[in-house]
Amino acid sequence: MQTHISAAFSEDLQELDQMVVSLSGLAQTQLRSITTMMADIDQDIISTIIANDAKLDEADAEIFNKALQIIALRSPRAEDLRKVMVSPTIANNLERIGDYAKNIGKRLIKIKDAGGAVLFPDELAKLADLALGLVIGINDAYARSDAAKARSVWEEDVHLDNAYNTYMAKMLKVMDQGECDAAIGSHCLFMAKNLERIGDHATGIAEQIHFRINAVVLDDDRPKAGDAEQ
Amino acid sequence: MTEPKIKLKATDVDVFYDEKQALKTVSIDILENQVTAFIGPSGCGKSTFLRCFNRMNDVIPSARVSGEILLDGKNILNEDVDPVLLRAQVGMVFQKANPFPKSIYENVAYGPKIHGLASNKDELDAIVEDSLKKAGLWSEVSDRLNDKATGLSGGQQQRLCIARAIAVNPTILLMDEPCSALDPIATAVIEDLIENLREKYTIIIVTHSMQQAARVSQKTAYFHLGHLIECDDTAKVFTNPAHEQTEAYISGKIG
Repeated sequence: MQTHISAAFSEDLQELDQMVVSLSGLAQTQLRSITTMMADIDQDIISTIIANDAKLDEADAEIFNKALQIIALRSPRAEDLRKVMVSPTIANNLERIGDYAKNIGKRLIKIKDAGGAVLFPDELAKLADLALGLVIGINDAYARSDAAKARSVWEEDVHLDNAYNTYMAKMLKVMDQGECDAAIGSHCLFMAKNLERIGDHATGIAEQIHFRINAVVLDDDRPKAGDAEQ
Repeated sequence: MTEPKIKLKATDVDVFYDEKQALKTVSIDILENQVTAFIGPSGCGKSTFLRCFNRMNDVIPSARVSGEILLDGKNILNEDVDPVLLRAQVGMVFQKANPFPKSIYENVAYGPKIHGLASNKDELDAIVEDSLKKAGLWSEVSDRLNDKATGLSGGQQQRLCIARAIAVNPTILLMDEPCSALDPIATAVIEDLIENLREKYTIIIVTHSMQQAARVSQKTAYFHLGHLIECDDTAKVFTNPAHEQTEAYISGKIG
C-alpha cells in the first residue's frame, strides 16, 4: 500500500479503519449471540447483549467524530476522501444492526417471561444465520478492501429475503388458524422482520465498500425476492 | 495525559509602528512541544506577533513593543536580554528560503561556529550531520556537502534553512509561511518534518493556508485587525470555532 508523505495522515486513516473493523466485530458478536437463542432463551446472555449495545452506539459516534476531524484537518482527496466519507455511513449501518440484535433479545425475553417459546425456531435460527453470514461477509470485504466480496454480499441478501418470506408464510398460516398466542406470534414476526432488515443494512454497507474501492455506486439491479414486502 | 508545559507566555503585548497599533493587548500561552498556528487575513498582526518572540521587531526603527513575553519564565522583552543569544534559542525560518551563497556544509556550520558550539572540526561535523538529519535532508545531501546551497531545490533549501536554525540548539522554532514558495509535494515533506520536529522543539507557524494550519498544528490562534480572536485546539477551531469571526474566516465568508 502506498503511504502518505504525512505519516500522521496515514495513521489517522488506519485508525479510522480499525475503528470500523472493531465496530463490525462488535455487531457480529451481538448477532452471533442472538442466533443461538431461538430454541433456548438464556436471560443472562441476552442481558449482556442489551448492555453491550451502548458500546456500538459509542463506537458509531466516535467514528463520526474521527471522520469529521480528518475532513476538517487533513483535507482528504480521492480514495482517502471516499474512505472518510463512507466510514460514518458504514458505522451507522452497523450500529443499526446492533439495535436489531438488541431488539430481538428483548422480544425473546418477553416470550420467555410469558412462558412461551419461539415459533418455528429452526427457521428463525436459519434467518439469523443468513443475516450473520452477510455481516461476516461485509466485515471481510471491508477489512480486505474486496469489492468483489462486497458485491457478492450485496447479491446474497436475496437468500435472506426468501427465507424471511417462507417464515412469514408459515407464521401467517398458524396465526390465521388461531394456533398461536397473538403476542408471541407478533414478537416472532417482528424478530423475523428485524433479521431481514439486518440484511438490508449489510447490503447498504456493501454498497459503501464498493463505492469506496471503485468510486462507482452499485446499480439497482440487485436480486430481490419478488414478494419480500409483506 | 498531562497538559504540556507553557513554553512562552505572552501577556498584554502591544506593538506600534509609529502611531499605528499593529497588535492590541494580545495574551497567549504557547505550549511546549506543540505546533501553534497563527492564522488570519493579511495585516491582522500574526507575523508582527511572531517576530516578537525573537525580538525581530527590534530591527524596525519605527516599531515599539510593550507587554511581557516570558520564555521559560524570563521576560524576553527586557532590555538586559541579548537579542543575538535569544535568536539562537528561538530560531526562525522565513517565507522564502534564504541560504547563504556558500556550501551546504557552511550554511549549517556558520551558526555553531559563531556561537562557539564546537571546539574542533569533528564536533562541528557532528553538529552539521545531526542538524541535517533532524531537518530530513541528510540522505539527500550527505555526498555533496561542499556543493553550493543555492543549487538545491526550493524545498531542499527550506529544509537547509531549518537545519541552519536547528544547528545552534534552539528550543523554539518560528516559521513565517515556510511553504508559501513550495510545490505541494515539497510542502508535504516540510509539514511532515514539522510533525517530527515538535518532539524536540516548540513551533509557531504563521500560514495563509488554513489547510496547512489544520494539518500541522495542535493549537490554532486566529488574529483579526491586531486582536487575538481565539486560540484553541486546532480540531476544535476547525470544526466548531467559538467566535463568529473565526467561523467566517475559516469557512471563507466575509462581512
